[in-house]
Amino acid sequence: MRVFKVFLNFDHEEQWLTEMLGSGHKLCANIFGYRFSTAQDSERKRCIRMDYREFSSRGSYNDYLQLMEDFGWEHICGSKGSGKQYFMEKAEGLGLEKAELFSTEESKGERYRSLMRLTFSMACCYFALWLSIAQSQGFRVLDLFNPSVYYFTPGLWEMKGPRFVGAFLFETPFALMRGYLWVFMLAVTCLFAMQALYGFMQVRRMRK
Amino acid sequence: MQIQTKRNKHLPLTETVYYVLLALNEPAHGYVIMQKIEALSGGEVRLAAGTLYGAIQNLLKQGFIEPVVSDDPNRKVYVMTQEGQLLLNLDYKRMQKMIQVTKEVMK
Repeated sequence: MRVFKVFLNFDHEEQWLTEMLGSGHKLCANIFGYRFSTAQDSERKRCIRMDYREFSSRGSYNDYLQLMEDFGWEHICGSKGSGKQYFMEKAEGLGLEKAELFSTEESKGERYRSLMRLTFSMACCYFALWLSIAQSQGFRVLDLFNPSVYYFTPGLWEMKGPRFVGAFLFETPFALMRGYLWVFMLAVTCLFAMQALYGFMQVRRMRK
Repeated sequence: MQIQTKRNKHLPLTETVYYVLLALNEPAHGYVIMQKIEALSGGEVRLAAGTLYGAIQNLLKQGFIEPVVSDDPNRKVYVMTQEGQLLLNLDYKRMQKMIQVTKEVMK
């Protein structure tokens, strides 16, 4: 099962994933949308918590995962450079009233500082990409509503029957890339910028 | 305006940082640090995994603790540096002074 959803707030994301686990869907990947596998019955009442960190080396990442494991957290999703790290309790309750990854408000808020740093640099990268592609196309926004200009095959529109369908379908992926890649880049830039801004607001709220 | 003469910019330490330094008087890895702190504080301070990890990373970056060689290949072991001891001592004296003046005022 794959679900597309955007969360800015870590607490809301944790809550949703814990509810999903309760209904039998265990998170297994979050690269292009959230992907779920079937949870075992014994896992359903456990909770899922998130951390946000990036690691410079495999060694320090393994060290981090080992520490989490020692504390009773099973790593279920995330990679060295993914930022978001998802953990599930190894056993229900862990002998605490409520299992948490953080015991102070400051350290809980620190997550937003790392989020802000990483997503801001991602937003800058995608903005640069967008700018270079959009500039090479001369920022022709109106062409988006007239996609035929993205087809370069000579005489395409004069062709008839199966020849037209074949040539048209063959070029469509290239035309889409040519025409809409920069729109996609802009969307990704906005997504990262939104996360960075949200992180920034959370960090500022913490300081007060 | 507050006038602070030669006050160390890391002071006052948070409860988390103070206890982590105290626990690292002897070499220990993450989980052992948490257990030591729990014992030292009589069960009052129980650090969660993410909080402890963040504190360790900050202290490492600032040079108040350092990794030491150990026979456990999977867990990094840390110990307090001389700078760390100095800092802990400064905060200890700061708190002692606070306790002393509080006693005088509240007498």
